[in-house]
This record gives sequence, structure tokens and C-alpha cells, in this order.
Amino acid sequence: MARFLKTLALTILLLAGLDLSVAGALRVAESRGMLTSLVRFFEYGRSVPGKHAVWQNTLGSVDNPMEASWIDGVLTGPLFYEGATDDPSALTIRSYGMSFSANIFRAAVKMDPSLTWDAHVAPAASPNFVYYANQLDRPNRDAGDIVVLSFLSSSVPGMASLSNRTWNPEQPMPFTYPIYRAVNGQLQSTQPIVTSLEDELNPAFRESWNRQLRTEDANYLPIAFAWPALDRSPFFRLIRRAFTSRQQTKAKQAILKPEAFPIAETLQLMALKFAQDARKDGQLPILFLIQGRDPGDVQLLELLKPVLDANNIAYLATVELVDPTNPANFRSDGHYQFIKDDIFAEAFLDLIKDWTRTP
Amino acid sequence: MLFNELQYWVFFALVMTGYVLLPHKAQNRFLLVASYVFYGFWDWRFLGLIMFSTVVDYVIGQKIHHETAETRRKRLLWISLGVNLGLLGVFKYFNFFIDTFAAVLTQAGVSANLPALSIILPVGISFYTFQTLSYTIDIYRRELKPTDDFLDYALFVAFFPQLVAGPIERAKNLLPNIIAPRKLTWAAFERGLGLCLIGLIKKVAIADAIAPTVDSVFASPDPTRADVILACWLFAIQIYCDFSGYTDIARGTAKALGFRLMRNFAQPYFAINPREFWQRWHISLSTWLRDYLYFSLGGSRKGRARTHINLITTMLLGGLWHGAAWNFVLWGAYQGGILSLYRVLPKWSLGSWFGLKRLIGIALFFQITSYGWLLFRADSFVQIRDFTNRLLFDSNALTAQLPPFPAFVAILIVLIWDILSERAGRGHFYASWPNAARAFVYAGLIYLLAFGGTVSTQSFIYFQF
Repeated sequence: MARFLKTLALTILLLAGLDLSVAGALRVAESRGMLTSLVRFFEYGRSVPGKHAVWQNTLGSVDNPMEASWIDGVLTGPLFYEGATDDPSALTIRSYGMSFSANIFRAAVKMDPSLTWDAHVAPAASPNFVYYANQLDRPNRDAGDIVVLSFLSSSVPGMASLSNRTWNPEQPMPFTYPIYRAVNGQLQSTQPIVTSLEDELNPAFRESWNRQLRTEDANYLPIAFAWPALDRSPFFRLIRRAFTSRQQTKAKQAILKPEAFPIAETLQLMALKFAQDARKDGQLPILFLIQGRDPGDVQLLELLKPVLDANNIAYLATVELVDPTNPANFRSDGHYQFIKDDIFAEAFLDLIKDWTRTP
Repeated sequence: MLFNELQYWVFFALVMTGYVLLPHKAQNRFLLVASYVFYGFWDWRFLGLIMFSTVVDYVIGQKIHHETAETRRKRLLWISLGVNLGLLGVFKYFNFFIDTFAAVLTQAGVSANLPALSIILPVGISFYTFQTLSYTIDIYRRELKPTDDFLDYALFVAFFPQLVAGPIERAKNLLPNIIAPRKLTWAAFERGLGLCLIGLIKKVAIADAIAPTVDSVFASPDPTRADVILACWLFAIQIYCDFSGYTDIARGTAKALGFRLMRNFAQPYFAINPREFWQRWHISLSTWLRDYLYFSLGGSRKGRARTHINLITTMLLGGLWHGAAWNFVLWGAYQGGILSLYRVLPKWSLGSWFGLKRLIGIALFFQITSYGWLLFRADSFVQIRDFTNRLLFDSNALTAQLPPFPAFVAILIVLIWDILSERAGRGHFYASWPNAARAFVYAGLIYLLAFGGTVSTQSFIYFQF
């Protein structure tokens, strides 16, 4: 027993020593800008409050995730605005989406520089964020605009969330959005208590906001938020990441079950309501259905095609043009290869030609 | 309840705590209940199947032992074989044979509308069926005396560490360990935890981490030659780390409880020929097939031609044991074929251990093994043909995404571990190391486990068999 206990004590001691060494090495590497991917690897396991605290220390810096994509900024900020803005007859595309859709528009504007593109994007934007931005931006649009709403299959589990921080804890962007849910043929929304960076940083909101996340966000994982003090240890960051990713996979799988969340009905209602509103405003609604590379994602086209066809809503489904099961079609960061974005862009240009010609 | 989930370790801690407080007989009863609870977590409906199999073989074992007339002994053995293989046939192979029969009829121009059953495969059925069969066959061969204690026998069948994916234990090995009081030592406990640790690294940090790359290539409609080569190599590593990782955890858990389960893997990828490979890979299955099938068919005692037939038949059935699909049969045929070919090829000396010639031999034979894994992993014959074509004629550019960095670190560590085990001739090569050295190894392995544990979790491959 003595030998066992001695080995155990030594193991714990050496583990602590190893952890201190790794922490020191990471600090040196970070300060010298070395081993950036390894440093980032260890950062993924930092708690959500821990990551937010780090970002808060650098507020005002370029691309600070703390400040990114809050809804006011998305609607008013000069995120992307490209193309022939001087030409009064130019077609204007108002898009609501994420990087995947932005890549397609960027390619399309390059192919047809007569287009004006007004982009409203957020990282890994979930359909509820996209729909929310489209609703709020409605007064800013003009008749004759082409309005594009993009749904990304990998972001669908985020429909049960109020913020990326819960369903994407490795990149917990704090911006918020409502949860929409189809109830008796109507979209019901749950509004987040926090809607701006000022709210986020205001201590008066903290308790009620945390309570709302815990109780109303189906992707909330206590382990991703608890014990930020353990973030000092790279070992515990690894442990946190391991458990979080396992629990997150289970949570996402659970949300995709119809009994847990009415994903299909809600997406269908969003598409329908979006098209009705745009048509009422004299605009052309188009839906982008972007299928990611994870075979476990919901099949967007399968889910939405009946509603889109029945209501004659124009759409571009990436799955009809490029096989998402072929890894060669994707870049290492999970986005489509640029050459594939060109295929989507061409299809999009053909689509708007067809639809703008239709009387 | 998977070995790589926290739930299992909570379960094991509870079992261990209760276990050490009990006297020997009560320990056995407690382990039996724990084993049934463990299995019930998978699917409690199939507990009845295990209990039925247990009762049948216990009763038949007793009867064979007490029976003197050879014809009656043989009849009893056939009943045991019929019941066990019948259950296996219904639950595992019914739809396979029906589908195959229907396909043959369709090919012959006969319209076939045969019934298919919606059958769930009970987890571990292939493993515990072979284990119970070995019990009755050994009694029939008068190599084993049956136990009179039914509950001890039930524990032999259902012992939870090895219930769902082996090792396929022989009664000669495990029953005495159950019947006699076990000595629990801190050294064995430490050794058990060490085995669990290395098993978890193999499973969590390697097999689970490389699975998405392998899956993506096998799901890809248009992989390149480099993709296929990478996928075959990685699948070879994945299946080894997945299965031997499971076995390590099973043996480690059993070791901590004072049991000695047989070694199931002995650095199989250090083999330089098929015979050596099968002496190192899934040893409990290969020795089972040798002892109960190959020898029963006559082994190598009935002439050269018959030896080759016996060898290929044994490996074909070994392939079919893995699953109800023709690619497993093809993999069995491939293994039987290379074993048979090896018997007729001239042997050459490969020089000293870890000499250059041996290293070349290992590298070359790994390619042969990896191609075999392509047959095993493929979804269809069409995919086998397509991937083989790509191996021969396609371009070289790699398009598949490589596994995450921690997986490569873990592969390197496990490779070093296997080299040290090979050189020492045993897995516990570090037993005589000083406390500080062992503690250093454990600390490093725990850190590596945390490092590799950040990838998503997967079920064990061999659970489907």
C-alpha cells in the first residue's frame, strides 16, 4: 500500500509540475507569437466567462470578438458594402447570413460588378439570428431589392439558443438574438435580456441574464461556464474542453430530435414569413440553404423543399450543386473551397436573372 | 455505458468499493449482479438471452460430464451447438442469409419476396456465445470439469469487463479465478489502473481522433490514391487502438478486481507474416478458431490440400463471425488466402530483432494488412473495387483532412509503448521501474489523455460484432 500511495502522490506532484511547465511554456510562446495553433488549442478549453474576460481586456482592438455582431452593429455597421453603388439602376442584394454566404456573394459581385451587395453577417449565424436581422432591417430595404436569407446546417442547433456562447462555447461570441419557436402555426419568440455590449458589461443585468441562459437556452452547459479560476491550469482547460465537447455533442443531438425542438416547423415558418414580408415590400426573396460537411447535420433542402416549392420561393441549395459528403469540396477550416463558391455564385446569378425576368 | 465515459468509471468505483468489503462468495454474487446491471444499461431486454444461454450450457455441461455413453455425449454437445449457434444465427445472420438467398433467386430470374425480421443485434452475443461454447466443448473433450456452482458459472459468462467485446475467455482460465478466493493487492490495482490508462489513450486520444478522417474518406465519392492510402493506414491504427484499447481497459478493470484475463493483442503490427500476425491479433478469437474449428476440421493432419482448405474455411468463418456482411467474408477469405500462400512460399531469414530486414518486413506486411482492412471497412463490393482502382491508377494529391495534432502525439507514445513491450516480452515492462519513474510515466499519460480527450467520442468498433 505504501508503494502505491507513494506512486500516487508522486504522480499528482509530477502532474502539477508538468502543468506548471506547460503553462509557462504557453505564456512564453504567446508573448513571442510562437506556436500560435498550439496556444489556441489550449485556449479552446477556457471557460466562457474566462474567454470573455480576456476579450474584455482588449476592447477597441480590431476584430475583438466581444464587440462583434451585436445586432445594432450588424444593421448599421459598414461590414460589407460592395459593388456599383453609384448606378441607380443597379440591383441591390440585401443579405442576412454568415461567412459561408458572404463568400458566395463576394464571388458573385466579382463576376457581376454591376451588383450592389449590402451584407449583414455574424460568425456561424444561426437561423434565428439571420431571421432576426432580416426582420429588424426591413425598414432599411427598398422595393426592387433582392433579399437573401441564408440558413447554415451546422448552425441549426443554435436555434435553441440566445447566444453563440452556449451552443458554440469554443468560440463563445457574446452577441445575442431571440429564440423562435413554431407554436400552432405562429412564430413565438423569446427575447434575450441582453441585446448590446453595454448590457453585457452592465453588472445590473448579470444575474438575471445568467438565469435566463440557464433556464431558457437548451444548449447551456454548466461545465462551460463554471469555475473560471481553473482556467489558470492548461490541464484543467483540456479536461473542461473534453467534457464540454462530449456534452455539447449530446445536447446538439438532443435538440435535433423533433420532440425536443420543432426545428422543421420553425424553419419552414421562418422561410414562409420571410418570403411573404419581402413580397409585400416589393422585393425578391431568395433562400440560401447551405449544407455543411458534417453528415450529422439536418438536411436543409429535405426539410424545406416542400414549403419552398408550394409557395414558389426562389432558393439556392448548395447540396444540389456540390456534394457535401466529399471532403475535397471543403477547406481545412470547414468552409467550401473558393472554386465551389464560384459555382454557387454562378448559380445565384442565373437564379436572379431568371427571377427578375419573370413577369 | 462505454468504457470511455465517466459513467463507467463511476460504476466501476462503486463496484470496487462494494467488492473489497465482501467475502469471496459474496464478491462473486455481487459481481454477477453488477455484470447484469452493466449489460442492462445497453439493453435490459437481452438479459434474458444471456441467462437462457447460461442455463442451457450449465445444464448441458453437467449432463455431458456425467454421461458415459459417447453417442449421448455427442448428442448433448450438438444440442449446445444448435442452441448457441441457432441464437447467433437468428439474431445476427437471419436477414443476411435471407437477403443473400433473395439476391441469388433474383439473379436466377425468380422473383423473390422473402420475409425480413426487424432484429436488433444483442451487444456482445458473438463473444459470450463463443465463450459458453468453449465451456461445453472442453467438457465434451474431457479437458474441463464443470463447476457445480451455477452462479459462479453465470459470472463466467457475464463477467462485465469482458462481456461485450472479449477477450473470449476459456473456462480453464477464468473459472478457477472465479471459484478460488482472489488476492487483492495494491500492485495489481496499480497495474490495472495503468492498463486502463493506456487503453483510454488508445481509444480516446487515437481511435476516436482519427475516426472522422477515415469516415470522411470512406464516405467520399471521389477520393484520391493518397486519400485511400491514408484512410487504410489510419483505419489499421484506428481498429487496433479501438479494440486493443477496449481490451486493455477490460483487462485493467479485471486486474484491479483480482482477475487475470488473457492477453488479446501482442503488438500485431510488428508482425512480418500472416501467421505471426494471427499470433498477435485478437488472440482469444484466433486461438478459439484454431482449437475449436481448425483442429476439428482436421487441421494440418489430413494432407497438404486439406490443410489449405481447412485454413481458408476457418478464416472465412472467422470473417463471418465479425459481421453479417459479405465484405467480412471477403476479408476472412483474404486472410485465409495469405495464410495459405505463406505456407507454400519459401521462408527467409529476417535477421536480428529490429534489424533493417525486420523493419522492412514489418513495413511491407503492414501494407498487406492495411489492404485487408480496406476490405473490412468498405461499405460494399463496389467501393472495394473503386478504392482498389484508385490505389492502382489514381492521382496522388491528398484531399482528406488530417487528424488533429494530439492524435499524432498519442500514436507516437503508443508506438514507443509497444516497442518497449515487445523488447521486454510483456506489457508490464515498467513494473520494476522505481516509483518516481513510474509516476512520471503515469503523469505524462494522464496529461496526454486530457490532451487527446478533446476530440469527440465514438462507440467501440467491436461492439457491433
